[in-house]
Amino acid sequence: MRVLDSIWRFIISCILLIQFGWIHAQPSSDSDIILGVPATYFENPNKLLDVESDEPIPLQFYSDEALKLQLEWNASEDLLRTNAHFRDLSGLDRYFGIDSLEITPFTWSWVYLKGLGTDAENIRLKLRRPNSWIREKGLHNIGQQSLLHLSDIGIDGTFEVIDRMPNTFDTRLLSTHVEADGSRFQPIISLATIDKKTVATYKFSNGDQVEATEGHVIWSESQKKWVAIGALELHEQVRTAQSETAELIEVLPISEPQTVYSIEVYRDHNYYVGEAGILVYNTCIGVVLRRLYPDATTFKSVTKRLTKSGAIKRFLTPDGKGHSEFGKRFMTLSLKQQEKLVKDIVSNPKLVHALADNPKLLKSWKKLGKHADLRKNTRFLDDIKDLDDVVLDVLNDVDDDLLRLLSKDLKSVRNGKELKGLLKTADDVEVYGLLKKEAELAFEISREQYPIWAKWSRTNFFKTITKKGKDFEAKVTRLLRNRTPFKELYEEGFVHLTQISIKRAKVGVKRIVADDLFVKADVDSKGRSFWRAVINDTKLNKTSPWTKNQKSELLKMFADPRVKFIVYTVRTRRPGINSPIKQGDVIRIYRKDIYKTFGKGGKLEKTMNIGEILDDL
Amino acid sequence: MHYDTLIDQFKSTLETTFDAYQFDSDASGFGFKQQDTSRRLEFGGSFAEYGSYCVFRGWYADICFIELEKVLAPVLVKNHLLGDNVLKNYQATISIQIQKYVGHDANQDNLGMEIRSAADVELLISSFQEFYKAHILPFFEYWHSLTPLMDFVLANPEPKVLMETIGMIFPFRRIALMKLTNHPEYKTTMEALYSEWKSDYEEDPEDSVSKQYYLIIEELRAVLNDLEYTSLQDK
Repeated sequence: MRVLDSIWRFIISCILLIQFGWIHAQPSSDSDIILGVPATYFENPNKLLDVESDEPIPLQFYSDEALKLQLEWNASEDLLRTNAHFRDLSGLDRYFGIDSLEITPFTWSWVYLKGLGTDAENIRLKLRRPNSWIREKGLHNIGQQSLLHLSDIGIDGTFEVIDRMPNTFDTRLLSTHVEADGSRFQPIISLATIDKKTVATYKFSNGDQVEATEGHVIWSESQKKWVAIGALELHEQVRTAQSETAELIEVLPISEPQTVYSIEVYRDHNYYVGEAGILVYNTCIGVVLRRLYPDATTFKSVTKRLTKSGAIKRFLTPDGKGHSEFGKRFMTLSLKQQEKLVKDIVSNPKLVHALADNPKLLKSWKKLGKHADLRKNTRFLDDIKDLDDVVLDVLNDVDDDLLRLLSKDLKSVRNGKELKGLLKTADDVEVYGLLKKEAELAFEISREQYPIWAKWSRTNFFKTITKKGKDFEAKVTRLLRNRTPFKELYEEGFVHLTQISIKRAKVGVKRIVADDLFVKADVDSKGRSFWRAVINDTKLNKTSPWTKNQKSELLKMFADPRVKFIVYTVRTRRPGINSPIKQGDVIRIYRKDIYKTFGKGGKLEKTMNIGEILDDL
Repeated sequence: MHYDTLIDQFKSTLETTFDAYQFDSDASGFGFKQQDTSRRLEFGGSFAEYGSYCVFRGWYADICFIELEKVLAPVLVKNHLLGDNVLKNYQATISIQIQKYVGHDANQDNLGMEIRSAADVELLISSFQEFYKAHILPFFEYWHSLTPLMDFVLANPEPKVLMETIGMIFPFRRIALMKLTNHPEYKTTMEALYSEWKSDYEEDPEDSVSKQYYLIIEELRAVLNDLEYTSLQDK
């Protein structure tokens, strides 16, 4: 270690000697030489541009005076208040690319650029970059041109160097203190000035106003994710300093195009705007999306560029074994799939992290792509919270039919929300699959192993049984036409309606649904018209029970032998085709006009009349 | 196909076309609705959901003449000749329905056409658009006011035709229509009806239907006469 230190010091001495011909040395002993970085660098910072070092000079080699001047320089820098807890759009816990490098005067500098061509002519750029980056991009000298893809500030185009400036900031002397709410201060590394952009003023309840393009990214506290500011709903909550929130109260479009500034902040990539501070990200969501649509001639060109730079570059280049693997797999996807995946990554950057660390999940992602409804409802992809989340992994083992069922069940008005709440872990998907295949296990499973599933699984059990009955009803309805006494009703001109909701014309009574209702206009002895209705209820088998309402509102009414008919009103809004009756009409059901048809082993067995039905009750 | 998906597909495809109407759906289908001070127009599709599939039952279009139904509904509901749900949503006065199967039509009967796929829905949507042009628009145009309806009622006095056209409560719709269109024979017809049903009731006060009809005509007569009085006063 001591040898390495000596080598380092020797190199630094040489650099400084070559560049400036001056070394401030304080020799004490051979093993304890301290080389001081001269204060003259700071008196004429332009000299820094000639250093071109790629390795920072350790602070221990700075003289006291030089350190003091560097601190003064740092103090004169305008830093932005950022939030370290919302550090990166990708939600990663490590730095990538230039963020992994400390900013120092000897290793970083500013390059000023102007945009060329129709795509970029309204853009001016100031980039603080490592010298190595500047060399690599061919932006070392004034007049040099280069194609730049700066995803963080939404810049894409050809630029020409118009000036070079030294960087006087040193992040090694920047306070590392992070407030409890994540607040800290960071320097700007890119500033783009863009003319003629359509913007709007977004007013917030804390008094702050943000003038921004609709694609600018802001933290939605309501949705707990980064979203485009233009997509915020009125009254949606955003995050302000001290972990507080404010709500969007007004959006005022500005008719004239404005000059806007796009800022890239070192490491945190977010900052607070406005007086009280609204947390925004330092990019436009359109950076990636814009490439996918109007600007791109083909998606192929988009992905090609994306692999070189931009939002997913870091995951597609060999930045680690997993990422490299993922990059390879990404390129095996079809262009359409690549397009979809990039969109998913934009809406949930954590996804790429999960996929990068576990490339197997790509298979699950592809599988989910076949179930658009399921994705819409579960938002599994948005719900990935950490790398250990294995919901996607489990989906690999689930067949498509079950996923279709899951999608349908999640949409259920009655208990879809409850089911969504139950699906929190991979185990839950498995339990769901088991209960769908073996509904009868509901009572056993929910009691012994998974008590939280008790309510849903029992409902599912009854629903499954009811579904079998419903299928049978449909089958029977199709067969009634040729079966006595319904065959005769057809001949008499009755119209056959199905699934008609009816209710007695009385307050507080319950409605019943007629599986089959045969309706015909009739007249009484005095020539007054009425709708006569014949009702048939279909049961899966002889012992299938009547519903509570069927008993109280129909059958028990006829237990009194004096009752000749009961009057019901039609509640179904659209009773069906050729229906002579409408919602609100009154129908009469006579005692003799009630039937029950039941099956056996899925086949039609018998039709019972009211006498038999009442005897059987 | 899931019922909600089916309805969503109809909504998303047709909402722009019929943006002058309000979309509405429930377990029995969907409809596009528009209402002004004289008419409520509604058209849509009727569906039923079974255990594992949905069936299409047909297209329909309704016209509710609000002025007419507004007079009748309270009296008929009070006397149980209409359900109380028509107080919230007046019953359609006149309707058309059509069942046109599209695509696979094997094994079709009164139950309706089974909807198996998104392609079936697309066919139905196209059929619906045809139905709108061929039937709904002319239907709405023809029955533009109470006048053509009154003309129809006068030209078709047979109870069967009236019942099929303006429903089971046609005697009440007809008399109210006569009143609202200032038909010269309104008073004579009303008095004849009143006398007939009063007499029926007096002959057999225990007969619930006779009592019901008598109470309705008595109340309706008062309502319509009052309407006349108010109307004259306004003039």
